[in-house]
Amino acid sequence: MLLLVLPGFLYFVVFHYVPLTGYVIAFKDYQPYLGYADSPWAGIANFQAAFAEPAFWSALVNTLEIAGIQLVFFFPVPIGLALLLNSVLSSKLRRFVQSVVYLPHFIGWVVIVSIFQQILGGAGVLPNLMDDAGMPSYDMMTDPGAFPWLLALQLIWKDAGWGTIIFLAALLTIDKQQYEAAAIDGAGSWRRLWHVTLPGIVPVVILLLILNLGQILTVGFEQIVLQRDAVGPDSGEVLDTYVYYHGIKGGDWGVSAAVGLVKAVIGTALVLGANKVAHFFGQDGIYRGADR
Amino acid sequence: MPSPPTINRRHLIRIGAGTLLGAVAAPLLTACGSGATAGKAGAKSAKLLPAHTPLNSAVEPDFKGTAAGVPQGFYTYPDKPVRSVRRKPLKGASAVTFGTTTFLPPAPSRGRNAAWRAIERRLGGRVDITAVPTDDHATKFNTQVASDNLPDLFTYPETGGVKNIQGFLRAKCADLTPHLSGEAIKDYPNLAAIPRTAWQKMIYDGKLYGIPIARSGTGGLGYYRHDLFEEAGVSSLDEITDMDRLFELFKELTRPAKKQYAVVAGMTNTLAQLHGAPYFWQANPETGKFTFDLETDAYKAAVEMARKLYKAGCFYPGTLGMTGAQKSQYTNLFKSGKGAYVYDGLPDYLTPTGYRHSMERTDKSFDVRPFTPVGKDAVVWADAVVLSRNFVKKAPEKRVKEILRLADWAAAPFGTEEYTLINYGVEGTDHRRDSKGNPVLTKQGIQDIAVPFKFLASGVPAVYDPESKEAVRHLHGAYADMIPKMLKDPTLSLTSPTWDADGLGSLLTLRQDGLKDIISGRKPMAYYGELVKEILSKGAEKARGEFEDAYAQGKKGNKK
Repeated sequence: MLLLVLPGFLYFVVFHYVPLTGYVIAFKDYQPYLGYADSPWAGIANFQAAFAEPAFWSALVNTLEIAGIQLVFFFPVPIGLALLLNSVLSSKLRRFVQSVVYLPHFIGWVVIVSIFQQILGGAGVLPNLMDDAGMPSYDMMTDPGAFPWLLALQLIWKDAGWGTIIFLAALLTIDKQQYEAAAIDGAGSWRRLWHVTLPGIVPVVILLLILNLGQILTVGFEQIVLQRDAVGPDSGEVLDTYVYYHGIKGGDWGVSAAVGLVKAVIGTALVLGANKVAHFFGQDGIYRGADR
Repeated sequence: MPSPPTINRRHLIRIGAGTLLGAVAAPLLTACGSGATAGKAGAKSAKLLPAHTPLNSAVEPDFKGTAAGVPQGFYTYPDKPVRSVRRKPLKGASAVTFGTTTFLPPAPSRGRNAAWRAIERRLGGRVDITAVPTDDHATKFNTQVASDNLPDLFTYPETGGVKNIQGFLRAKCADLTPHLSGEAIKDYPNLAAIPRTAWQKMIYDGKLYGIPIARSGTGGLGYYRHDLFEEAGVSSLDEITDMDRLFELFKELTRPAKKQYAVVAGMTNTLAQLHGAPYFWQANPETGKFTFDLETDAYKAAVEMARKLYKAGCFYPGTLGMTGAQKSQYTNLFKSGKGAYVYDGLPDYLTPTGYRHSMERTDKSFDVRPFTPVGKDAVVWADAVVLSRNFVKKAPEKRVKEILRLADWAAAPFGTEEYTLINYGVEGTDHRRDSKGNPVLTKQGIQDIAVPFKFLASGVPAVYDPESKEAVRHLHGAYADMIPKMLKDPTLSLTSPTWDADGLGSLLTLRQDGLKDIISGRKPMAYYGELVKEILSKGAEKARGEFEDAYAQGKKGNKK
């Protein structure tokens, strides 16, 4: 049996654990042609260089703002959608709706951004309609203030359907007898939702919430890099694009790795912290230490 | 505008993995050379440059070329292509690996590709080509460097290369000086016909390292719709006598109700040239002082005008903020008739999918032409001296010679047998001759010739279009108009390690971000001064110092 685990284990070792050692370049003046054993050590100079940049802090603030909005407005959407889907009784209709809402997940960001451009952009459908109606036209795509909301909107359009998969699976595991028992006790559909369905999926919701916290500083590279210039770096730069424009593009691997490491450390701290909080509220979280 | 390569987390992890492999091999590599020392500033000695020998072209062009870089123009293709290189350049050589970029979909593999097989038969050896899309080039290249898997000959990415190029070349690449410098290049006559300005870009660290893919010097000033300009009352660009007139014209050309806008995407570079700003750096020959383009009044005026145009709604909404990854999106807006002006390089005018023919197919009335300098202050930048640079991996002398012979073969000029094979493949399979004797690619041919042999090495490409004499006249006329107005780039003969490392990297990002903020009105014009100061303090000032030192050093060298 253990042998069956081996491919997965190897995958994690080769593609996840071994590359972790690459973080050593965060402490080096890394030059690819010297290889990383021979690049000179730089101590914490890469971190100092990043922290001294106002652009880094502005990227961090933008990242947190976008992540916050995504967490509050995107995260619950798949749960709601899954509940709605779950209540559709005709399995034919449900499968059809599921296919339709999964589909956008497979569309690339370039295409999605240009669809939004066609609809919300300055020469798009909506501003034209507003023009025709005699209203002042509004171009959401180039409004820096609307940027995080635009991102959340696009994310919901693209991934809300895809996100329902896990919740639908969780909903299926709830024992049908509980519904019957609740119904016999006279619980209406809202009561059943509140007392049977939601408690049934809470562990999964919490698990995903915690895992999402770990990814919180990764708010989406392609989506943002495609639209960053429309609103300017002051509101469009996030940590990932900062690393790309200020590090990778100029061959500054050391600084790039340093910022990446900062991100990873914050992500890990958030996961562990949130896990502790989950335990405090009596939930399992992502894992539990051995029983004491 | 160079398109930024898209890099996501997966790529990074891949690079990370490559790094590890590199680490394993590292002890072996370091024996070859030490490269950690920073690059040096300095003047490039003219003695390093190859002696320029123009080729006696076998065919008489319809328009003559000039030594300054105006290409030759042709209406028809020569009947009987002559052979340029007599011997088989790769006879007896082992397979040469070549890493480069491509703008085309992948070509059929060797077994199903008549052109590829014919070329290798003619070469007398194998060429294994790995071509990646331009957007992935930097990623691929850096992985190859980190894992020490560089091909024998490779195209260096124009953005996203290594930070210390001098150190990299010293450690990894073959010094071509003994093979190409001065009279030595006579062994490679097609390479000797490449203009000296292109070779100047190949000098690093006091040595000649690269093989250029030469271009005419200028990428042009973009394209305009002659029919729309005419509708707005301008039947010749000469009538645009100053920038106020241009502004009025662009306002006139903006008709949102018709979904027509004057400008698609940005035109800051074009406006800067029309206002007379230098290409990055300007040298004062008397004082030896260097001025950064952003410091000039001309550049500032250009930005002010772009801002005014944006405010007047002349830019197609949303296109100013588009990146290189969205280039096809905004050029398609122009190609489908939504704009009167767009910036794109001149080589895209005459190709089968280029502006001229694709727009003609869309609508017969679309009359697209290269935009040329207007107004009394206009200059032209030397921004396209080369398309790219190829470097040769360190190898024994014999191997380097084989690779140079291959490059020389590929650099054969328009109308030769070699050129025909590379661009049109095999007659009968890949192309047929039309009634006037012009080669026309077959369906098979369009796919077969996508193997980028033409990126092995190239002189200045000729202007040729079998379908339209008028198009040849427009394009050749644009070059003939612009190249004499081209500013000499003082930095071509100088080296500044700071500029090499950051000039087209982080400093360019700062500039583009800042200028877009100003032009779109997100920041006031007053921010301009602050932006210039920031760019200077983050490296441009240091680069200025290095250029000035190198310039002084070069002057001394010339006096001796």
